[in-house]
Amino acid sequence: VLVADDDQMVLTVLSGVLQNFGMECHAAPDGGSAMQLLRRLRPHAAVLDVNMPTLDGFEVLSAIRSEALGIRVLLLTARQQESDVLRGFALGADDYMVKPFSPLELVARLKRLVRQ
Amino acid sequence: MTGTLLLTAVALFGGLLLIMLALLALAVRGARRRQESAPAAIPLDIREALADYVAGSDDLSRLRAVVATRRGQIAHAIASLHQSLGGSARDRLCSLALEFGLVQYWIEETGSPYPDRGRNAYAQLASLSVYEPCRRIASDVLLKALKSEDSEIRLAGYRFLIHTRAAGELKFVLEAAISQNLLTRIRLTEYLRSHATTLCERAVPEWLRSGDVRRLCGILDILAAWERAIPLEDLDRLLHHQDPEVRIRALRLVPLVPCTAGNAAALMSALADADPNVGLAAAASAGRMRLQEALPLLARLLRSASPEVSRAAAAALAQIPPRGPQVLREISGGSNAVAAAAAGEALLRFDHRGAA
Repeated sequence: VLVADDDQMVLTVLSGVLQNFGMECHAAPDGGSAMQLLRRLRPHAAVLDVNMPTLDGFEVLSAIRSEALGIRVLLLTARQQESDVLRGFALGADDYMVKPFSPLELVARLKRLVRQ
Repeated sequence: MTGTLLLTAVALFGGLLLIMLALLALAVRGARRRQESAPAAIPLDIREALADYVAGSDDLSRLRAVVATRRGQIAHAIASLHQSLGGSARDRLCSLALEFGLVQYWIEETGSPYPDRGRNAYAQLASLSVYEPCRRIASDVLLKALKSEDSEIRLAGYRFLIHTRAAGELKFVLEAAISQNLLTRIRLTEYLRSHATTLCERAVPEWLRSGDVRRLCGILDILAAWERAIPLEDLDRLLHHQDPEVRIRALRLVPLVPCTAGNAAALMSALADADPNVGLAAAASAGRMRLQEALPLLARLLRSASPEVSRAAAAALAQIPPRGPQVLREISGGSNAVAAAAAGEALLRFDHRGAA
């Protein structure tokens, strides 16, 4: 799983939690480096923050879909307006979670996505 | 003479030494304060130790070692992470803050002579008060915050009340939101969003029966800003309110409340309202609701003399396919320049959305 978030604290926690649940996890602090890792590693799933430097989560998601990378995407963001959620799904997100988030719920959703 | 010179030299040297010692003491104090006052970057060892803990580990030895020497840093790390986490992870963090004496630390910090540190401490206590044991300990301080002259500190008090989830307290905060400055109102609106359903049971309907137009507009603005479905049944009356400002705000809510025959009829009649701003709000809602029956009235609005109203009607028509875009295509080639321009713009956006 690739996790991209510009908040170092959240990034460390997410990586730690996913690893504790037996997932191999790679971290990226911005959208640009996330995209590079996604192209190189082709992970099963990506957890993307929306507000990130260089490329935001929506742009990374668009690129994943336009390049047909075949990666499940969960958007994780503080943006909870209906328009943001709809935009995320319209761009092809498989799931959308709003911060503050429960790490255990995120793991459960990711497991379901990866199983699909 | 030589003795006098020697004494002067010794005195000068002593003075210089004293000044240097004083400067050194100030530098050390400053460094300590900077460390205590939560630096921006959280060291990796703290991040990793907290991540382990949040992930479920009960081994606190690494964190205990850190808290003994770098309490400010760990307080900052917990505060920073707390904003992003929910569920049991958030409760674990709050419990950690209690165990490490950070709640008490922030209570003491509220009395800091440095206003920023005091405000920060209130904000942290307000965040932690989501967890009942923390709320109990910080309640006196946070209740006192409600009487502060500083709006940031009052905000912490309101957040504390919101965390109690009691209907009466939520109503109190909603009332406060309406009467506070715009910035505080915006922030309280956000904090109250997740309690919209509770508030719509009694508090909001009571407010909507108010005869005070300013307050009525305030509450309608808050409801619209929530941008979520709300179980409100009494909107019909406000859609026919004599004051256009109230009608405009009520119209923005129509897509968010249960669709009743009364609301739909009021929306249709608002499309023909003499006040162009009312028509504008009605057009936006009709488009959002994709009301097929609004097509003729929207087409008429599109031909209105006001470019702003024309654009709103065109945008609404573009949201009601397939007939809406067809109407736009017909009008974009017509002789009414304002309508044709508005229809052309809306069609461009519609085609762009379709391509995306």
